[in-house]
Amino acid sequence: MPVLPELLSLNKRCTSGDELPLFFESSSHPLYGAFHPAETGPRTDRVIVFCHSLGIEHMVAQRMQVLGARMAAKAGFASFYYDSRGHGDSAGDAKKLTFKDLVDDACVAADYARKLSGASKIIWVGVRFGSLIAAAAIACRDDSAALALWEPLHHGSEYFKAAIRTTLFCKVAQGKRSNSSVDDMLLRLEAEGVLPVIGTYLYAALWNSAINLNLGQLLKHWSGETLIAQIQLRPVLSANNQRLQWEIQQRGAKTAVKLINQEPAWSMLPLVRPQWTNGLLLEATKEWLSELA
Amino acid sequence: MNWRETQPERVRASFEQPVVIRGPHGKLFGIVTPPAPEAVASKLCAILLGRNRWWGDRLSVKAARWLAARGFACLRFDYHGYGESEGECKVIDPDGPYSEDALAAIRFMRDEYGQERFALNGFCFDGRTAMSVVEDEGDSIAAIVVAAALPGEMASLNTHPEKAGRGISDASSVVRVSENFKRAIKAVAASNVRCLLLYGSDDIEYQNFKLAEATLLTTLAPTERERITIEVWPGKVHIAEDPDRMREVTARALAWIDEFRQTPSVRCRPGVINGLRS
Repeated sequence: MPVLPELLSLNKRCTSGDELPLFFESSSHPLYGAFHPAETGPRTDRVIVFCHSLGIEHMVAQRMQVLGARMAAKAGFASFYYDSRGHGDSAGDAKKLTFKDLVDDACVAADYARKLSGASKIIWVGVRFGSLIAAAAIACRDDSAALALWEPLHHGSEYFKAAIRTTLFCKVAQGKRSNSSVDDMLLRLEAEGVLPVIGTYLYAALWNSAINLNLGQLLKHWSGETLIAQIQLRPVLSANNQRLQWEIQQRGAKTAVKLINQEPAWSMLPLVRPQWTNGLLLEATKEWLSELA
Repeated sequence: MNWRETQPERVRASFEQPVVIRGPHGKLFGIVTPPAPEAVASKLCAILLGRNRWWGDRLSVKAARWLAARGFACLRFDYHGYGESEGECKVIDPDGPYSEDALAAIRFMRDEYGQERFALNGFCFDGRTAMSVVEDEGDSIAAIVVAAALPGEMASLNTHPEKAGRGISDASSVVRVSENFKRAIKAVAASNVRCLLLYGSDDIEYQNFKLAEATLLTTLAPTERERITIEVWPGKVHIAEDPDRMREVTARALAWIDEFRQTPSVRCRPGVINGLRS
């Protein structure tokens, strides 16, 4: 892999405006990322790092990360998003991937974002399962300034169960009867090491390393400013989100909540409809960023 | 096919280059995978079409690195409005392929990377996009793989595609072969482009394609018809939610493109798998 100055030179021809798509390295894996320098504003001390969700959820939400990074750059915040190993344009074998690998990649991405931006602090944006990754990264670093959670998963198992439920739902919708429950399919995942779901696969290595994750536990020492953006059709904050907000507030941190009245099909393969976008979420995140202390 | 990442593919990944392509709807973001220098040069550039560029189970990423390890230059990119590319995000019209994006990609690889001959691969809408550029770039395209493309017009497909059960279940709802599809097929027939059309016998798209077969392909001269190979697999091919099937489709597309490189002067004959003579 080329080193940083070479990368910058190599990618110079590729820039769009000031956006810098690039590859960097984490544990010998080339990872894809894109750096968006701040267009205006004084917040050169902080850089935003997006942590994506997994599988089809990653694809569904990818454009929102891109739009989020562009929005933030315009608002004066340098931003960086990346693909973990085994995801997107990065290298790596998804079958061997563990939660620790995802957290390691997030930390390498954060270091890289700091290097590119010159910032000393990280503002994390976690998308669905990416909230767990961001929380775990925060727990092992001392440079985190703030955290935005976009429809966070509170338990590691939720991603897997949602993907399986969508698979079962599609079978029913096609007039087929499934003889398996979600629990049956999780047992199959453990026994066989891999489970096909809508558009992709679940792997036992990640399941086994993520099954007991709990967002509240991972954030038990977190006392930075936090945005909880709930993207659900329900008109009030969910019990899990309420609890998380309360726990963070108990540690003296400022929290903000935004209810986005939408329920994207996170685990469903978009065929003719475009990737998910939501202007309200972008606006809410921008507003929260502008009010950070 | 080994679907795990192989060492040669990992090496190719480490040489990938992000690129930005000027398109009529704004900048298109993509990734170029240079061919392995140790491989015999294929003298073909594979353009892997998808929304976004690693849509689904990242099969285009795997495909690019697999082909590059075998001597192909490869490009995958986001259509306008998808992934990182600029432009408005819209519900796609299956009969309105993103030809301008694909043409911009071909011209970029020609101008910036010196590529002269191209192979295009696309599933469904992306297959229609691959077909649609032959009219303008037929002289530079060696082969296209078109999997489960819809030759007709189905307004209801756009209504609620995310709602399983509301999709097309009655082939009779497909009223006709579209003018765009007819034009694309005629352009393929009039060119030297070899085309693999892949369908499943249970695909709604195949029911519609049979209309095209009966009304359009039978009118082609034998020399035109022989450039088009049609494969019909048992069951469904247009089943993007089934990752196992998508791997089979991808493996077939890669084999087609790869074997084409190995015997570039072989002419296709109707009904002959791969267009290759045994």
